[in-house]
Amino acid sequence: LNVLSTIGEAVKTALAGGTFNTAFDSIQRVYVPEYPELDPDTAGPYTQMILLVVGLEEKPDLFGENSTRVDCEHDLQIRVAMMKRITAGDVTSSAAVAEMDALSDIRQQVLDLLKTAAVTGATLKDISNSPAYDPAALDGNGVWVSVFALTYQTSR
Amino acid sequence: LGKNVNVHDIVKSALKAVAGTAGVPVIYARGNSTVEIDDAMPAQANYGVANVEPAQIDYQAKDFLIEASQLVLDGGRITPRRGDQVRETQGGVTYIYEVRRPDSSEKVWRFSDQLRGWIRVHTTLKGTA
Repeated sequence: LNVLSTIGEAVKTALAGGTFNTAFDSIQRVYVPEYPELDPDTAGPYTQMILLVVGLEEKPDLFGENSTRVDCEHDLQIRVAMMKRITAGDVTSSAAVAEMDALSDIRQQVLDLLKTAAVTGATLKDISNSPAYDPAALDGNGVWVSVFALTYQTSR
Repeated sequence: LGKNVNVHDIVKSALKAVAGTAGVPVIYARGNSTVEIDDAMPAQANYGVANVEPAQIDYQAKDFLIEASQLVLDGGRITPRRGDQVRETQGGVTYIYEVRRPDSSEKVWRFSDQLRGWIRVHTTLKGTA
């Protein structure tokens, strides 16, 4: 398996072993991180809290100080999307704030786990959580979206 | 137009006539309070995808034109608010639309005519019942 997919799989496995205030309904590695509008089984609203892992980018450093004629360092970017449809209809209400605070607690737990997740053969070089949440998706679609970007370094 | 003809009245009756033809019955709900609207006009509808790179969120957006005077809940006139619902029944299935602003470019509702007689409310599909 290619390195990008291998690291993505390792991130997924680490997340699956994590403990969060509320367990995720689904943790998957995908190529198209999509949150459906309706539950296909019930035609009701799709409300699952999910984590989707995507291997998005690989950049070899051909002229880096550690590069040789055969080997060089590669930066590989994995992104993780945390998504959940909220139950509060009015996102400006105090009930919605309480609901989103609880989601932000889980967001922080995901971030803390990703900081320390062991990925064999790769070193975590950078991590960010931006956006921590997306106001437009929240207001327009009623969906909490938080995106984590992780950059791992390998050599080959 | 004659001297005694009121253009506003003509526009008002024209909109009413369109609603009588193209309108559909819906239930407008806020919490447990509901009102039946006889002739809400389904307006712009589209299937969309909101992007929060790299995540994608599917949605179905739909606007309804509702005569402002029909939006009465618990004895008082109201204007739409986030989280209100418009319930439309088609073929025995009730589609529940939630008042939202899917494109973030304007608030959840606005008057659709200069006379402030009709309200355009933005919604997205929440589910069916």
